[in-house]
Parts: sequence; structure tokens; C-alpha cells
Amino acid sequence: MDHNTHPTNLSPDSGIQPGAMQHRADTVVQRARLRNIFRIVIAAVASATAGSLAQAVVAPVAPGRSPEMLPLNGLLIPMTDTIAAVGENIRFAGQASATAQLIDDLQTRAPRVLEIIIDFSGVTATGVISGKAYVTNAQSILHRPAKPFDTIEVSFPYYLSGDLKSARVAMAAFSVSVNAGVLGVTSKLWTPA
Amino acid sequence: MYLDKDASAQRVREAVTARCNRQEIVAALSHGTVSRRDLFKWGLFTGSGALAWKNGLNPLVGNAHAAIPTGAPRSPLFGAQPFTQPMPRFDLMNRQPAGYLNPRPMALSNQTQRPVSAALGGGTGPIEGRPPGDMWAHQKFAQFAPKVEVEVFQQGARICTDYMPGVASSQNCGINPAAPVDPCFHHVMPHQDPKSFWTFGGTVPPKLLLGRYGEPILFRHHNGLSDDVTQNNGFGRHTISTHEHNGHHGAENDGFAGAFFYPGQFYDYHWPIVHAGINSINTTATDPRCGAPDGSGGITKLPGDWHETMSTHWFHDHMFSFTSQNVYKGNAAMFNLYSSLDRGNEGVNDGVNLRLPSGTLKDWGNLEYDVNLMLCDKATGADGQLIFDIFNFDGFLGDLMTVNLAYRPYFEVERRKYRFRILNASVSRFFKLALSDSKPFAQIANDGNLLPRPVVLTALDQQGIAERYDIVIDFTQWTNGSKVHLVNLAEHQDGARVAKDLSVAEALSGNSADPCVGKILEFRIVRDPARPDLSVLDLNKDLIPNPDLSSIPVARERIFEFGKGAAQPNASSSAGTGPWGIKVDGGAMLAADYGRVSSAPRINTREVWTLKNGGGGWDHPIHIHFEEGQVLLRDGKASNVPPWEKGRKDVYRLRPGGSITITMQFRDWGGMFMEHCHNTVHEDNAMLLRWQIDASGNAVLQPMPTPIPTPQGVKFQSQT
Repeated sequence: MDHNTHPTNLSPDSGIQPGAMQHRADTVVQRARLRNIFRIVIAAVASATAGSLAQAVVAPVAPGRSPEMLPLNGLLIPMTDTIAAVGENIRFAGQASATAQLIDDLQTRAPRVLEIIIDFSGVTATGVISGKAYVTNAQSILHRPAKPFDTIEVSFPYYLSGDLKSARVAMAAFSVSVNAGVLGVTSKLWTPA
Repeated sequence: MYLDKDASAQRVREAVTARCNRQEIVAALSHGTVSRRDLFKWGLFTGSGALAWKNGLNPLVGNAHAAIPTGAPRSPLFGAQPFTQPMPRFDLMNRQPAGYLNPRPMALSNQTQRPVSAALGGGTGPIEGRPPGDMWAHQKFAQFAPKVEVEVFQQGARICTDYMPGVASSQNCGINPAAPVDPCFHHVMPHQDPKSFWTFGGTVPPKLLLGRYGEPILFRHHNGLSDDVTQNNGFGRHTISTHEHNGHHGAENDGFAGAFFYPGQFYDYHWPIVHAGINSINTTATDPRCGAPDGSGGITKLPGDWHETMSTHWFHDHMFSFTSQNVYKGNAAMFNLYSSLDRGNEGVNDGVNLRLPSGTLKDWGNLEYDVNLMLCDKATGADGQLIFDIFNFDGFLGDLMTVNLAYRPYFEVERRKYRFRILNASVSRFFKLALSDSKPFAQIANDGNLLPRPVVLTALDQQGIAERYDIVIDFTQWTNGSKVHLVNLAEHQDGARVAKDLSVAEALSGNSADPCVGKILEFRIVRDPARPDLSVLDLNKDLIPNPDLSSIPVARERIFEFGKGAAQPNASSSAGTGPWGIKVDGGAMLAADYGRVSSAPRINTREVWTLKNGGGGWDHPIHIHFEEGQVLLRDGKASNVPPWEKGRKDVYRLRPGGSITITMQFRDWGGMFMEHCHNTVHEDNAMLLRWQIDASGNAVLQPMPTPIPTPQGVKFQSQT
């Protein structure tokens, strides 16, 4: 067996309903994911430091195939923007992807946690003057208390292929809302001071 | 966990009183006058393992609506300000040539008798604590005869008068190595009492051992602690077992939790320092990538799989049920392993050496630009002495952030690339690290294993207890005279898991109630390097690709679930007590018993293990001893494995409610090993199991007898 063909039936039995879980003495607590009743709305608003550009996208994501397989992959967040950087401005285009899930603890009643994984590998970065392509393949995994509204700032690097010395940082802010079964995300980009 | 810095005097008094009451119980437990089982019977713990809500014991009683974190009074700082003291480099352990130790190390445990003090029961007992007999003899001792011998005493705190940083003072913030080093976290803080602080050699800075492949080490560890179990300032157990995390050694040298030894005894650990696969891959030693620095610029070729080369280890206590307390008291050191790939000399350009930041003065093991960082949170009482509190089975958090056992220090760097080997040596705290201006750096290793490729980041992933992250920072990004800080973004409210990953701005805002969030180390960029930076870090070039396991069949799959509500069916002395436990393949959730064999993979096979978190309210960094694994799936999918987990690992963070599927091989050595949560409060409260490599060739496993150490000698019991 290799890792590409490994069966997924070893994944957590996260689809078990909370009521039933409480009756299990041995496994009282399990991950509760956002259920497929959720519609996921992605709205991206980009504001550029050099010239303003606004864009909004609404893209419902298909629910998972079954309660056991509800990874909320595929939240695509437009990241079109141009930011100021040393040497030349950098134009970003493409989409970051986000995977999000809510984690409950039915035993200790610990605060519900939002796990959000943001992957920037679908974003391209290009020097406005030089036309050089920068690598933007970063990933960020964050755990935040689940709140109706939260603003999450994430930094990510971009760099010329192979060259650590060329690496620079961009900031992205995501406004995340989790309520009534809707996870909404908006974002903007800038260069840190 | 900690009261707000503006808490009322009344509130602080309540918390101090409650802590004192708890400390009496902690002390009784550490002295062996009560057991964990007693505490449960007395109703001091609830069934779920939480401290009972008793007035005068639980700091939350009467403050049920208090904000979190709450409970414990803050550690006094005695006026110490952050970044007012230099961060010391580690203190190098003396490497002696073969023939140094007396009595001479032997394959069999040295059972020469010595008088045993009345405090330990009187009579006589063996000078070595290693269990006697063939089963605990060093495997392949003649084949891997020690070439380096190390002798160290575990002992109470004392002033260090023989500090060996391994670099010039100019590379160590100007610290004069000839000056005495006080056993304290800051020069304005009190010296730690010998009963509070038990380190290797009794001194700070923490110790660093340098080793290279093909150079077997005999590590003689003396237990120099008091015979009197009560001489511990209320916590810690004077019996110890030393785990070389994650050495590929025989089980007799693994620091098995039940193979502990007593004050007055020593234990000879034989670390052969070989590449995994030594018996099956590259057995004729023809590949220079599987090699070691020969001392004169060349390579000593060695057998084994070069893909299994390791770099950054540490060793620490693994005493059954007392690991958290003993490690917290100072039983932790680091161990850099050098190889032809990672030789610690950036100047050797032989086509094999990866030329990572290090230096050039010595053939191998240069430390000028290769810096070990040990992160741990501590807590002290009003007198400035370390304190520990077991009364939260979720975990123990300190409020004094230390790096290399110095409270929030600074470190001077030159404008060039540095490698930092970052160890999380805390009890229960996770870290998430970034630079204060969010500038990028590269992660090159995870758990001491160089990644297949460097990963450029602006913030590391959460780093669980015992995980090691090696990173490279290029300080040419800053100008001379500037400062940048290492910032902790992981905010805890308790020891169960990270409550919130902060942004850098949030962490620097000062608004977090977690005292260990924010700046923890200050880098001062002080000068240009005197010599050119010869180190290489090509982001497109492989470091160490993973071993190719595609042709090795999977002999078996197993599922381990880590959760609460464990049962303990046994009452033997090898059985632990606590709310945490592990299910194996859907069986009952069992509390630790190192006499019970929970899994027995056959030697020379490969298996796939899935580690599941039984809950969403906590995280578990699961450590599997013996050989590095590869992460195949996270939450059931290969695509969920982040780039920095695509190399080899030995600690697997499950994430709240998550799962991880790994593959491991079982080869070269045999015996009994362990798997446990490295939140050592969870481990000590029964989230540990024993597994054993079955090398018998029989249809049915023959469990090795379980050692039951006493000062008068080790007894054995059958499997429980």
C-alpha cells in the first residue's frame, strides 16, 4: 500500500451524532464538523495599496458526500491585488483555498474551535516592472475560538524560485463569519510596515 | 491558569492558599506516601480527572465565574525585565575516548554490589540500575564498541564553573565562559535550590552532546540525587530513566519508563548511532551519502539507508508517572547528530555535504552559526523556587518563558544565515513561532529529520511538546543595530490545547492573558560576519528525500485512539492511574501499564498505524519510540499533510479531534518500546503504552519479562 491508495476508512468517525456520542463511555468526545446543511459563501474584497480594486465573488461549495466525509475543502478566495514592495510592486492573482471545520468537545464543553487551513499555492505573484514570477506556495493552519465574526491576519512569503534571500512577506486579512450555518470569508492584502 | 496581573489582593491570597494546599498533596505523591489511586479514592479528583471542587483546594471555588485564565498566582519577576540578559549557548558535554570509564562498560549490566542506605531500604544492591541478564544486555555491543564515552551526574542545582559553549565569546553574546554561571533564570532572580532543580551536572546552561554517525557512544548516567525521596521541594521523583529521543537503539538503551534507576546507581546507555536499515540496505557501505565526517575533511562510509539520517535529538527523563515533574526540574538536554550530509561544516564542498549554516573552524560540529534553542515555560512560588502543580490533568503551564533556561533573553547575531534547532521542552505548552516583523525564514527539519525540501514560511506551525523544528534565518534582511524578536503566537487558556493562534499583531498587542505569548527572544543584529557566509540553502535542492517504502509490504495496520475515561484493570506495580488512556484496535480505553504488551510488530516488517484523537477539547503530541515514521494521511487524506510534515517524524500532533496515519518499520534492534502523549501530564496520568518488537519467529508473542526496579536489584514480573 502506498499513501496514495490508502483507504480512508481509517478516518475519524466524525459523523456520529452528538446524542449518540454522549452515550458512548469510551469515546465521549468527537470532532463535530460543519454539517452539509451549511452553505458556504465566499466573498472576497480586494483593496490595493496602489490603486483600488474591489471584487466580490459568491461561490457556494458543494457539500461533502456523506456525514463522515465533510471536509469543507474548496473554499476559493480571490486574491487579486497589487501591493507595494521593495524594488517593485507585486501583482497577486488567483485564489487562495481554505479548508475550515468547527471542532466541538461534548465532554468538557470546551469552547468550540474553528480550524482553518489557508493555502496560497493557487495565488500567483508577479513583479509589476520586471515581470518576474514569485513562488507563493505557503500554507497556514490556525485554530481560533469560533466566534460569529473574526478577523484573521495571515502572513505568507513570496520568493524567487530557489532563493531564500529574495523572500518577502505579504499580509492577508480574512474576515470570517460563522453563524447560522454560513461561513463567510472576505480578504484583503497588504505589505507589513 | 494564571491570575490576571491586576487581580485583587484577596483573589491572590485565595489562590496562594489553594496552591499551598495542593502542594501538600503533590509532595505526598512525590514522596510515595500516597498514590494517584489514593487520590481518586479520596475523591480529590473527579471521574474525568479534574480537580474536585473543594473549597481551599481548587482555586476556582468561589470564583466560578472568573475569567480564564485563572487559578494560580503569577510567578514573581524580582524586577527582571525582558531582554536584559544574554541567551547562553548550551554547555557542551565532555566527550571522552574509549577506555575512560571506570568500571569498564559491559554488555551485561554490572551487578557488582554496593551498600544501600537506610533511606532506600538498606542492604546491598547493584551499582548499575540496568536490569540484569541477557535480555537487557547491550545488543551488538562488540560490533558497535563505544568510541566515545560520556559520564554525567544528575544532581541538584549548583554554580557552573566549567562552562563550555563550544564557540568564542563573540559568538555567545560576549559571555565569558570562565565566569561562574548561576543556577537561576535571570541574574536578579534567586538561585534555584538543589532540591528544586535537577539538571545534568546540576548546572545551567542546559547540556548539549555532539555525536556523529559511526561513532558509538557509551553514556554513563549517574543518579546523583538524594537517597531521601522527600528532598525534592515537593515534586519530582529521585528515580530516573533516560530516553534518547528518538534514538534508533536497542530497547535496553531507550530509557524505558519501567527501567529506572536509583540514587547511587548508574545506568550505561549504549547508543550505537547507526543509520536505520543497517542490516539490509547499503550493507557494504559504498554510498558516501550514508556516512560521517572522518575528522579531516573526508567521509567515513557507513552501512544503512542515508535517507534515515537524523540531525537534532534530545534526551530527557522518562520515569514512569513522573516524567513531567522530572523533565520540568531540568532533566533535559540536546544532542546534535552529524553525518556526511549534515556535517556541521558549511565550507566542505564535496558534493555530499549540504553545507547548512554552521561554521568552518572544525571538520564537523561547528556551532558558530548553528544554535540550539530550548523553549520551556516555568513557574515559581513567592520565593522564586520552581513549583509544579499536578492538579489539572489537562496539563501544566508556566508563566515564565525561558529560552535555554534564561528568562526572555537576547541573542546577538551577525548579518548572515543561521540555523536554529528549536526544541519544545515544555510540559504541556505548544508554541507557534514567527518573527516580530513577519519576515520569512525556511524550515529545514522536523523532529530532527531534514525535510525533503526546505519550506519557506513566515510562521511555523504549532510545535507540540518534544517536537523539534530546525529553521534557517537569513539576517541579511536586517541592518546592523536593528532588533527582531521571536514571537510566540500560541495562546493557551489551559494545558489541554492551544486556545487561539494569534496573529503577530495580536501577540504583540499585550492583550493576551497568557503570560507566555508575545516576544520570547530578541535577536540583535550586531555586525557583518568577519568571514563570508559559505552556507548554502537552495530552496529547489533536495535535503533528504524520504525512504522509498513502495516495495515493502504493509504487514499490518493498527488503530490507536487517545482519549479520556481510561480503565485500569491491573493493580500491579507496573500499572499507572489516571484519566487518560489509549484504545488499541477498538478495544477498551486502558490506562498505562508498562507490564502490558499492547502491540507486537514483527521484526523486519512495516506497518501502518493510525493515531486518533478521541476528543476535540485537547490536542496530543504522540511520540512513538524507536524509528522515524512517515505521515501518510491527515484526517484520512494525503492532501491534508502539510509540506513541513512530509519528511520523517517521531512526534505526531493529532490536532483537536483529528487523526494521523503513519508508516513505520521495525528493524535492526529488538525489545520493548513505548508510545505515549508527550504532553507529559497526559503521559504521567496514564496515556502511555508498551509495544514490543517480536523477534522470536514464533507464532505467538513471548512477552519479555517486565522489570520492577528496587534499590536492591531489579525483579521481574510476567506480562500483566
